[in-house]
Amino acid sequence: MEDLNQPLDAGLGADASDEGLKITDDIRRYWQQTANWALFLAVLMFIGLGFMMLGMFFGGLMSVNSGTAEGMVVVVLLFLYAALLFFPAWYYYKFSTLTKLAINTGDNNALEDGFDYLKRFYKFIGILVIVVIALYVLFLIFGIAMLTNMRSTF
Amino acid sequence: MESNFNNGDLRVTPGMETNWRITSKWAMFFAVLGFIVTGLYLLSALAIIPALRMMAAMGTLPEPVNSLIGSFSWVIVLLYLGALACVFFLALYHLRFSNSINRALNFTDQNAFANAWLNLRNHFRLYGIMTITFIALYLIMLVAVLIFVGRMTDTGANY
Repeated sequence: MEDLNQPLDAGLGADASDEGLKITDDIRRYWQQTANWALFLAVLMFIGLGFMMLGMFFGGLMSVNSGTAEGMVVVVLLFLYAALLFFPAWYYYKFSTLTKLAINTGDNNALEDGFDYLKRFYKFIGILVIVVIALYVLFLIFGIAMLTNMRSTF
Repeated sequence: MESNFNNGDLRVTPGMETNWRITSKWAMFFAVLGFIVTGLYLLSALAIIPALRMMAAMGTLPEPVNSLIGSFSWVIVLLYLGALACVFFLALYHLRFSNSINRALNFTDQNAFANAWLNLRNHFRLYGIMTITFIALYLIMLVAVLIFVGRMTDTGANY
């Protein structure tokens, strides 16, 4: 009964509960450590991308030299893998740099963007995993279908 | 390291909360996958490792592999179980992160909020340490194989 002029539910509602989650020093420390590891992993992935570029270069060279298509298969495959590896690396890198920037300068927009990139990373990898599992299941079914088909002809 | 963080400038915004909820859903998905994979790996470990040891004892493997496996079989078991434990903990940290962040967002639980980020950090840290370990082991194995091959081809050399 502090202030009779206020409506009875003045202190409740969405605003009050949003103020509840505070970003403490501990949490900032966790974020910084997480961002550091994410940067490390991103750098590793970029190094892997570099190796793939090298491999693509040599594959193309081999194909041009010998006139066969084997080198080009390598190029196409590596290009596919590189495209798939680039996005997780980029998302981790942006998450890491933006989060660290936000923690050091108190920029809330950078923090929000950082977590947006983290969400994008999880979404990308999640969809990739689902697609790969689906492909595996498809190939399994296809293989079994072919096997049973061949057996029926004997 | 002193803490020179800008206190009070960082807030939790609705946009962040939405992103966290989506991240939490995918983290739960990965946790479930991780636990399934751990179970499968455990089953296969119980099946393959005794079979390998039996084969090494009976001498049904080609020669270089046979001696390697015979003396190092415990290393292989250790590595396998280590990888298994890592996959399990990665999934566990994701599970804890997902549950904690949901709890924090739905019930404004500050402890759960901090706990969530602690578990995510642990997940990233374990992933980083795992990667470093595997790269190091890979390099050691490469060097060991090169030395091994060098020794084998050296025995017939006459200078």
